[in-house]
Amino acid sequence: MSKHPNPSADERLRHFFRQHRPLPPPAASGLEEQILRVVATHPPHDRARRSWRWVGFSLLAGALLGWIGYQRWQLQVAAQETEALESFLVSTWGSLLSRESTEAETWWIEFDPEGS
Amino acid sequence: MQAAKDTSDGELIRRCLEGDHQSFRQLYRKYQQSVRNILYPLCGADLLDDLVQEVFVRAWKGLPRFRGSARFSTWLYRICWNVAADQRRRCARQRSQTQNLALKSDVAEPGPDLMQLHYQQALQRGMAQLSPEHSIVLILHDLEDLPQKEIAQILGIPVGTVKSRLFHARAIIRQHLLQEGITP
Repeated sequence: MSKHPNPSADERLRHFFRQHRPLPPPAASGLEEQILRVVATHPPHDRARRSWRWVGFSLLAGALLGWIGYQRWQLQVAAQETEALESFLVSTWGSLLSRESTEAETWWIEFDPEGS
Repeated sequence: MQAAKDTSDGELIRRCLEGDHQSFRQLYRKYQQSVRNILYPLCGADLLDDLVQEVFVRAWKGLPRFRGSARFSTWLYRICWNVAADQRRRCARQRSQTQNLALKSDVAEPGPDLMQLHYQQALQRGMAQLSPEHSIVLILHDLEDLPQKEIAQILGIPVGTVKSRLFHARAIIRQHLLQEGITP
């Protein structure tokens, strides 16, 4: 079966459609202005999306800066702690050594095998 | 004025995207009649203005997503079809009622002679027998004179399906007209 058995019949039907097509009623008088008013209050989606993108970007940048600041602060604290620990060790070790050397140098003075 | 009329759709869209509402007004004036012609047979007269508004507001909001790979009219008619489909889903239960109202409102309209009125009503009754998928193909091809390839793009279906739907839609209308004693 051919899909177009009689092209002229199709053309006649098409012509009939156009001649007697159901015509829509005319638009309400204020429709154009109403649509333009609605349009004026709604920015195209992309602009809204762009502003959301900016909000997202700002949040991300803020979080990133916060994280970097925190890391730097932690490094500083760690450096300070290390420095304090080092100086503590140095001072503690120094005093320990000096006490030991004093003891080493003087043990024979205190030691009296004859009990005199 | 003539220059404004001749401005291409692409240029008007570019201006719209810069926030120029007057360019959108030009697009509206250029396409509103076609939009009405497509929506009316699908959805009737009752909510026609509301639906036309919905089409153009959706188009405005979606303009940034319009890539220009297809014609603006193709994209707009696609929105038309979506709006009509949404409306038909909303009013699925009242479908026959809406169609009856549409027919009644047409009967009340003053205008052409009785024969013309008879043919119009017969055609409307015939179109009411078609599914929305068949109606839209018939409207776009036979009434809006769009090529089959563009209809396929609008509806997102293969060209072969457009041909098949057109064939069946015409057959149903032809049969209906014959039953009413009309030989086109």
